[in-house]
Amino acid sequence: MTTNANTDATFQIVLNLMQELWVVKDRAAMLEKVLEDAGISVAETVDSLQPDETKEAELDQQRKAFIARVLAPTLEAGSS
Amino acid sequence: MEFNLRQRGRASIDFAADLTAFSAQLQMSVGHRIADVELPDDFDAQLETMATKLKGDSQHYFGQAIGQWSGDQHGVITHDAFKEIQGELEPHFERLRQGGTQIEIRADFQPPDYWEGVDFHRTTGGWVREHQGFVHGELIHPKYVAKNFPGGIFKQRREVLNELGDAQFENILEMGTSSGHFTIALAEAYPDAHLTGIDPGLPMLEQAQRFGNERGLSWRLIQANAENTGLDDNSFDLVTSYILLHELPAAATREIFSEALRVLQPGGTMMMSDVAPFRAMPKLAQWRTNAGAQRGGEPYWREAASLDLAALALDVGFEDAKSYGLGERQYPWVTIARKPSA
Repeated sequence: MTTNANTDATFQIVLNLMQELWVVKDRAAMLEKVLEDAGISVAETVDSLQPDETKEAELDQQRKAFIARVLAPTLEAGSS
Repeated sequence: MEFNLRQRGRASIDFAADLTAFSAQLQMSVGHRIADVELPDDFDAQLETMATKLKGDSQHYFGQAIGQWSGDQHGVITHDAFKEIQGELEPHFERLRQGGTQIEIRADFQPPDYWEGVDFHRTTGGWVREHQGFVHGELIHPKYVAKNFPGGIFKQRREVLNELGDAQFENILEMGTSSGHFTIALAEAYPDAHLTGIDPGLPMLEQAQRFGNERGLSWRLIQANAENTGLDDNSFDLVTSYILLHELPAAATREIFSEALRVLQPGGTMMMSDVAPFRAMPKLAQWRTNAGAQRGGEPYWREAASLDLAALALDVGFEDAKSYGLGERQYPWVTIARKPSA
């Protein structure tokens, strides 16, 4: 770790973000492959789809958890 | 107006709103550590004292860093979200230009000089950027600000009118109509009144026009400065504004109060609702407000919140002036005054 706690925490955030982002990218790519193999083109459908109430609540919970997970080091950081 | 954002725009705005909610945890944590700090009276000295005190405080740093990101990005994200659906919206815009609510544009209009080079709320182009009215009125306000601002921004615009009691009004002038959210509250509270709304920002009035025509209402909207409305003497029984004054230099507020007095009928009422003045806050809140205004694209907040609005109203010729905050948070801060009857 460096002597600067802010720099350390920032790097942890970057790594957390890279991990979370890659999970999403990998999943999206695999989903598209599965659907294309089944003869369904999803790119436009996904772009214009509106989440229903259940899905919106689910996304809401997941987004908050995502932010809390990636930015957890900022809450743990103390004074340098 | 009913519309659906595309996936990227929708997810990006939701993310920005929840990121702001997260940063509140950081601010709260820092707040516990600085609750007992002794601060000087001078605002610049307060900023210096806290900069020294919080130097190296990581949670403060990250809170500021998130605030910086939100300030820079919320306008970018929402304008991008708008562009994704602009083609679908244009026919609605065209349809909602038709109706009883129309905009008057005067040939000699000049925007106020204190708008020059100012990007209010750090949104590029300030209130004159093309489509800022839709972006502000339909995206930033309801989908971003409303999710985190305490008290409910639309509810507050309705509730503040309770301060006028049972009084009824026939001719209302709203100064700083912006995208029309307070105009809607006025129309609901006083359905029989004739509403006139003025604002220097044409893109903002265009959105107010859409809200008016969507509801089948006939508002007279004018691109004009509140300091010099060009409207007739003694022609309104209520002159009002909501969250306008903190975006004005103190000298402009004085001119606007004088203009309100001129256009009001004898016995008419002025009610202006805005942010709380510094004198009503503890020093820590003064520091937090000044620091927030400094990084949030609010160049006139400090001088505006240093004014005594009731005293100013009396000074320009009003009577029965009072000024007070609503609720525990003292927001909005309401100033009510009456034009002498004779």
